[in-house]
Amino acid sequence: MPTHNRFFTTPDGKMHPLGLTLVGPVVQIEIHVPLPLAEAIVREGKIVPQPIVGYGLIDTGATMVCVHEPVLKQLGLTPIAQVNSGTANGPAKQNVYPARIACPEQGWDLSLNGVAGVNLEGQTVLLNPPQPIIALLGRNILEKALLIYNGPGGFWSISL
Amino acid sequence: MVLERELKTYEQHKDDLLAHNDGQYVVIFGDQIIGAFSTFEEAYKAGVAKCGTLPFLMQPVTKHQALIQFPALTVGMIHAHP
Repeated sequence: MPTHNRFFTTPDGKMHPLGLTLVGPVVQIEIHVPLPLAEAIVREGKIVPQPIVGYGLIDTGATMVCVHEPVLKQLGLTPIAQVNSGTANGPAKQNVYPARIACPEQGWDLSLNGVAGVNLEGQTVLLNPPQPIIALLGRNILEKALLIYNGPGGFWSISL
Repeated sequence: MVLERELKTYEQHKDDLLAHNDGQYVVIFGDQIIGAFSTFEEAYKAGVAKCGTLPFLMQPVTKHQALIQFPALTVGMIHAHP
């Protein structure tokens, strides 16, 4: 399994646990139109939307991957199902979309059984400049992964 | 609402689907059941082959749908879908 390590260090090369605390376990991701749909779009003589780039935050609390719904709509995707989820206002229906998630830096190309469309408006990674979080990478990705989060050491590592 | 007709079709056929296709994905377009498939990939390919870029439902056939949790949404750290 390919391994991705992310060490947070100060300018003089020392461990920087606060950096990990502030930024969190994030990876740059691309949200793509799934391949079967891309092929259908081409057959219809239309142009396949370009992938949308942003950051995904690894979220061990999320049952499944969820993606900022406007991003999914920007790709022209439509829901394929609904799931029941718990929210601050009680149970709610979330739309499920087909999507392909790639992490070019790590060489990952993740086929998922749908992603939930949610509102991640205003969520950013504290980089300079801040970058938008467009997905929470939940446990349906982590079920195939080995994840290490070393707070005192200021690093995290994932093998997927 | 997107998929309203398809979800209604699923509810109408749910008992029969549970009896014969429990654990599979059923693909529904309008009031037409396209088929039931063992995997998400098979179902999605069949749905796109039949419907192209039009919306269709891919419903997991199960008696009790699992509750999906996003604690960051639940506690309001991130906005819940309206």
